[in-house]
Amino acid sequence: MSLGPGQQLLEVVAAVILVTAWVSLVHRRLDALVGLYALQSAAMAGVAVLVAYLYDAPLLYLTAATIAGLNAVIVPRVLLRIRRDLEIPGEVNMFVSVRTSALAGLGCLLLAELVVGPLTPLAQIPAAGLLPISVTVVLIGLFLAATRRKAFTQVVGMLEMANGVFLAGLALTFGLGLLLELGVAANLLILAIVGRLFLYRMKDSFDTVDADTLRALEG
Amino acid sequence: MTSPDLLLLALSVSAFAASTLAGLVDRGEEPRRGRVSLGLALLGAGAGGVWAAWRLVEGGTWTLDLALPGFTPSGGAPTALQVSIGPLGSVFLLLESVVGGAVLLASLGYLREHVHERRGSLAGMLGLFLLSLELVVTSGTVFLFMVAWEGMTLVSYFLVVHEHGSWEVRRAGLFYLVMSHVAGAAVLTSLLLLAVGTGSWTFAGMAPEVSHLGGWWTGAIFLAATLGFGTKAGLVPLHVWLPEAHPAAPSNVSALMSGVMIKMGVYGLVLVGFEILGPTASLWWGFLLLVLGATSALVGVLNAIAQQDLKRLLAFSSVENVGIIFMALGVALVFLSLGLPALAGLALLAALFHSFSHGLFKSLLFLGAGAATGAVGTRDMERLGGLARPMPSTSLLFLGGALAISALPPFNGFVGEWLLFQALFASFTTGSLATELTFTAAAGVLALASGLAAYAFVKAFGVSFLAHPRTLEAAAVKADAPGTMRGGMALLLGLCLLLGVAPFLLLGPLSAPVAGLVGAPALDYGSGGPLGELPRPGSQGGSLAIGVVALLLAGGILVAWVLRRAPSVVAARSGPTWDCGMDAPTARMEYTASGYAQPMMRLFAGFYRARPHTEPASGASGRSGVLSRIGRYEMEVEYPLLGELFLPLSRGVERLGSRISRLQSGGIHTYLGYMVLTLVVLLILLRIAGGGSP
Repeated sequence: MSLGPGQQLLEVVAAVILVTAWVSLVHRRLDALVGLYALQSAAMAGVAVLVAYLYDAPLLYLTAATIAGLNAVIVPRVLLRIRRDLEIPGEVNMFVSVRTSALAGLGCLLLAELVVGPLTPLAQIPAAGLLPISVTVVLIGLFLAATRRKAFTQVVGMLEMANGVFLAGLALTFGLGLLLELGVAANLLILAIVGRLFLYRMKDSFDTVDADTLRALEG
Repeated sequence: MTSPDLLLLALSVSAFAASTLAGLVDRGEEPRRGRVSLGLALLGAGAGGVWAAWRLVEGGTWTLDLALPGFTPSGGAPTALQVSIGPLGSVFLLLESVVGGAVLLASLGYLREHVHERRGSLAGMLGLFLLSLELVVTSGTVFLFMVAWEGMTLVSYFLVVHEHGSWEVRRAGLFYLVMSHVAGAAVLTSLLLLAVGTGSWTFAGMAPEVSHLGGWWTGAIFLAATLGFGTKAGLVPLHVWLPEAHPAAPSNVSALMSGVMIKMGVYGLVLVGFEILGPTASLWWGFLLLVLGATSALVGVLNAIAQQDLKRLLAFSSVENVGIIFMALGVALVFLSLGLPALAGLALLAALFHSFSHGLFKSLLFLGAGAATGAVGTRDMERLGGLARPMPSTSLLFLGGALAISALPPFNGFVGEWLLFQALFASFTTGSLATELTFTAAAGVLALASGLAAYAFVKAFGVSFLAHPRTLEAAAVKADAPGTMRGGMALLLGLCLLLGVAPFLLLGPLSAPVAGLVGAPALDYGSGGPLGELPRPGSQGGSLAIGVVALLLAGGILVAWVLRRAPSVVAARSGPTWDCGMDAPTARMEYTASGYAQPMMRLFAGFYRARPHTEPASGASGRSGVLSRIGRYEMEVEYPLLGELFLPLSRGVERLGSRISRLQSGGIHTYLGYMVLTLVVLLILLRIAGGGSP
């Protein structure tokens, strides 16, 4: 089916979300990860604005503003400040090589497309394939958290996951999901706060944010 | 609102919620916080009590769907919330409100005198506890019931560990939590089986559908319910948490737990076993409950006799009473499955009446024990004694509770056991030999248990309150319990006496719910009036009018009092107690708690497996003259069942746990990896299973 210019724009912006998620798998700098997350969140806000305009859901402008303010600006700034305060070395330490990570990212996309692709007609926004992208972002975020050594990267991974969940909510229930979206936004804030607390405490106790040291706590 | 139900429910729930908030959140001064919180909870209990009474008068079931569009699902959804209170729930709500109100009143004084830290939070948690209890008996759906049930367990856990400074309290609390957790799983299993089998998530919708279920299915439901609710009620051998948790908790909490919370186990079993599964009851269900109940009654009372710890004694006595209640439930189920609804009604009446009675006198006894042990600072009866002099009111009230629990007329404990005896004797009208033999044996067990209970409570009262103080701490007690505590206890004792003299005040309102539960045509137990006879089956058995007994008793006491006052031939002289020619008697010569228990310990030596240890007095050996030279005598009593039944179980769980713990590397990445794997596997499964049809 043919898409209007608005929907094509939506696809492009959604693709930005996907690409930022994938690139975050191959990048080696922490600051860049935070930047990618900010970019991804900005794209999320863009998606929300487009959906609000195209499908006439004015409440989503509010959502978009929340994302733009919170996810794209405040949370990244907090993250960067944490890194500076705790003097966390800037590079990403990986358990899995960059090449494997990149392939795994593609695997996530493939899996999501296979599993959720057929469900696309269920989504309120049939055009842009938002649903597979959202699942991919969730999987990549989780993968990022699982295969990177620093607790800092785990926080970023979780935040990306939250973006994915958010996108799924948008794709499935954009008409009546204000409550859900506000809930997810609140969740994100809590995640950032808990992550911050966790990192500070960990630095305090172990003098490092290498999450592998937590093995020592095994009972 | 036209319906007083909604108004009373809202008032009660919001008062409890406000009480919780006031106790836990308010940053005001601590003593005031506790008082405000308790006061609000009292308001909630009052509203609950009025509501329960109104429901019993009104009859029928009142239902409220809590469906908020967009927030909670409505109708038949598994997670639909529905408040529903029928006659059975009303009975237990009344019990909760009456006992809860009296305990809250007593808590005002108890908190001030005997709780030294975090009074506000204790008061707030009491409010929350009563709220969860109210929800348990008023929930109409599986979902709401489980939320309330688990909430009740959690809140009571926090109440038990209120004085968590001591290691024993924390251990008892953990033990209680684990047992309750298993019980919760069994309850959930039972209710889920019911819901799946009947296709309904509301209790009201289940009852009409159970006839389609097979015997195996209903049997499994009943067994799971017995396991889950029996654990909460304290049925042997699932009672092991009870004698640990009750002494560890503050006494007002023990009073509520023993008086009300364990009755929720009874409520749950009556709900599942009678209200829902009643028409499909099998004979073996009744016999199972009867045997479990009889075992509980004996094990509970024998253990109670052996205790030195006053509150542990009371806890074991709760096990005994729960046993009696379950015996009555078993008898009712047997009659029900034999097609004798009128007799089943009598036995069920005994169970409900005794639940009510036990709630009244056990909370009274726990409050009295709390006043005594709090004043002296120990629960060890060997270190109490002589408290009747400084605490006359508390002693009198405790004595009244002890008489009531020993099933002596004219108190209410007698009525329930009398009804149960009548039901047991009525087995001779069934014509079934197995039933006759079992019930006759059960009557013997009941008689033995009652007698031994009296023995245990002579010990509890006599050793703790009578004679001379056994220690300096006990001698230092100067003042009686605070006025509100005495008021709460007096209220409970007054009700014990009232229900003992005029049982029809409760038997009347109970007859409609009982008739509904056993499916009998209207049974009327309430027409006797204060001097009428207790209900009895047919023309068999003896008849008894407690009002008449009470009048005779009162008359006898009056005559004795007049005779005592009358001038007698020989003037009475008062002098010191004869001391067998030795020096003036000291507290060391008093009958001790362990000494008092000796005859029973010897008689039931096989049960106790007690090991006496004797030590000669230091520096002397052999005997000289008449007096034995033994210096110390101690008796170690094994705690039956705990070791044999639960240790292998817990070892098995530990072995399994250590195997599973290999999965636990401790590395956070491993866990995240598990999550990724799980998610991927689930997605693939989704693709395989449901891919074709979106």
